[in-house]
Amino acid sequence: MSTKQSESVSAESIDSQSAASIHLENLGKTFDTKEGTEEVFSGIDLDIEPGTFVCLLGKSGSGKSTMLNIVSNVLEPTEGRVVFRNRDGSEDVNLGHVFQSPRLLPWNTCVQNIEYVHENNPDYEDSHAKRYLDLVGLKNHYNKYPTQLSGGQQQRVGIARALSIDPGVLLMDEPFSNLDEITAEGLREELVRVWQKLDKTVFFVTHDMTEAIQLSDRILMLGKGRIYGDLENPLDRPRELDSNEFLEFRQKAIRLFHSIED
Amino acid sequence: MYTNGKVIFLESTVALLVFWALLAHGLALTDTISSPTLVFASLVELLLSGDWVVHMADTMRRVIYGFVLTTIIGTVLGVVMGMSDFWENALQDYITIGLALPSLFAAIFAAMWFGLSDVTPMVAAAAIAFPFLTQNVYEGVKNVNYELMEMSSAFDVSRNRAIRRVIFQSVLPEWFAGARYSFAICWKITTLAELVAASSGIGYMIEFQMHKLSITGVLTWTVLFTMVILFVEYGILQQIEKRVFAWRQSTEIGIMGGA
Repeated sequence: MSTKQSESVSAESIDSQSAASIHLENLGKTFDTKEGTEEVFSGIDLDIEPGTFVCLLGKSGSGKSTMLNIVSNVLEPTEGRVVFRNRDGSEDVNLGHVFQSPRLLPWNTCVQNIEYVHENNPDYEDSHAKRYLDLVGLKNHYNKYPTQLSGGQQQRVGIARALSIDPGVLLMDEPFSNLDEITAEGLREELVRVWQKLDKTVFFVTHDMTEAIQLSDRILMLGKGRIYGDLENPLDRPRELDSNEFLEFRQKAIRLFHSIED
Repeated sequence: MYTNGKVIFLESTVALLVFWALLAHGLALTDTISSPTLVFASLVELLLSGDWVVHMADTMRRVIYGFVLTTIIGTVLGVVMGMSDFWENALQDYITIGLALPSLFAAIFAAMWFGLSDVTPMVAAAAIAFPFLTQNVYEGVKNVNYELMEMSSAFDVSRNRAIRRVIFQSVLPEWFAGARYSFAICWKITTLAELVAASSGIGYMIEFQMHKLSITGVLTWTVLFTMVILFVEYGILQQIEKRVFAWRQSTEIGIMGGA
């Protein structure tokens, strides 16, 4: 992401629903396997304030994708429930999804890909999609097909699509893990910039500690069926990855992350 | 050296015609293999006479009947097999047998059952062509990207819209490839069936010229048939493909770069 592109983006023209809070109440999930019932996690209680950028960190098989799928309403929890609440107390909250791969319709242009998820929006016009493409730095790509975009640009369309439904909560499943580090780094900066402009709660799943520290206000660590780490991120934004504060906090977070094996 | 496909095709065609003319006239074999000039003269005469229009129209009508029947059977069975394990297991072996069924077998059986009617070439063509379309549609349905269906579900897209915008579009390239191939098969089987049991059509006229022992007549009708097929292939089907599948045809990643 070039600085020039970032500067050209404007979010002022976007009317945005305010962020919603997320509440996990006694959440648990088990799967039936041939060997019997396998518990992924249980008894998880969690409150995430509106507008918070939360990263859920866990090792492979820790259940972080399962938790995201439950929060996304893709999976039913075995016990407990997930509640979303707007600042006015209502529970009618839009959820925006950004996946590990962009999941774009290859036969549709960028604008059409955004239009696709607006079936229930009678006021939808293509100018709406274009505003969000502008926001993520794709001003001159409205009518391009995904095959004409790089991996990073495709993921930006995925982010624009998720933001375009004006979500109170943005759910992101390792969205940069398939990208090269330079592209991923640019997109992280872009994501933070967009998040700061639009009032959104972000629930971001990752296995990358540096990414989690760079992005989040709060880091949750999932393992052995429970949230064993819950860290407030004390670092000011913008965050310098090579600053002493960043590296010190990273050390502390890594120690906590590995403490589950001790 | 030219590497353009169209130039190579033109060059090879000219080379073939020159070789044919040299062989026919140089070795005095015009009674056996005719010659490009004789066939060209005969073709011009045929086109000017207008006699070809009736036969071409009859063949076209039968091809279209056969193709419509192929499309219906091939698409329905392909979708059913792709979506249901039961039907996949029940039909897979029959489709494999159908893919290997000899064309002459279908033409003769259809002729024995339906005699001198349009039903004979229609049934013969459909019987041979539909397994190819079924197989393609079946594979297309199997290869639908279910991540896109999950995405649709996550964004509360209705089932109808997801079927239209994801499943239908996913299967379309396979369907189109299968339909195109089936259409070519319908042409071939229809003319074969006309040769066996018909009183009009290009196949019938080729057979009529064969009985007259006129190799020039046989080749004239064959060339006319080939010209029409090429027109349908390049003038119609490829143009449709270019428009419908524009999204598959260009990638600019290397040029554009960037995140």
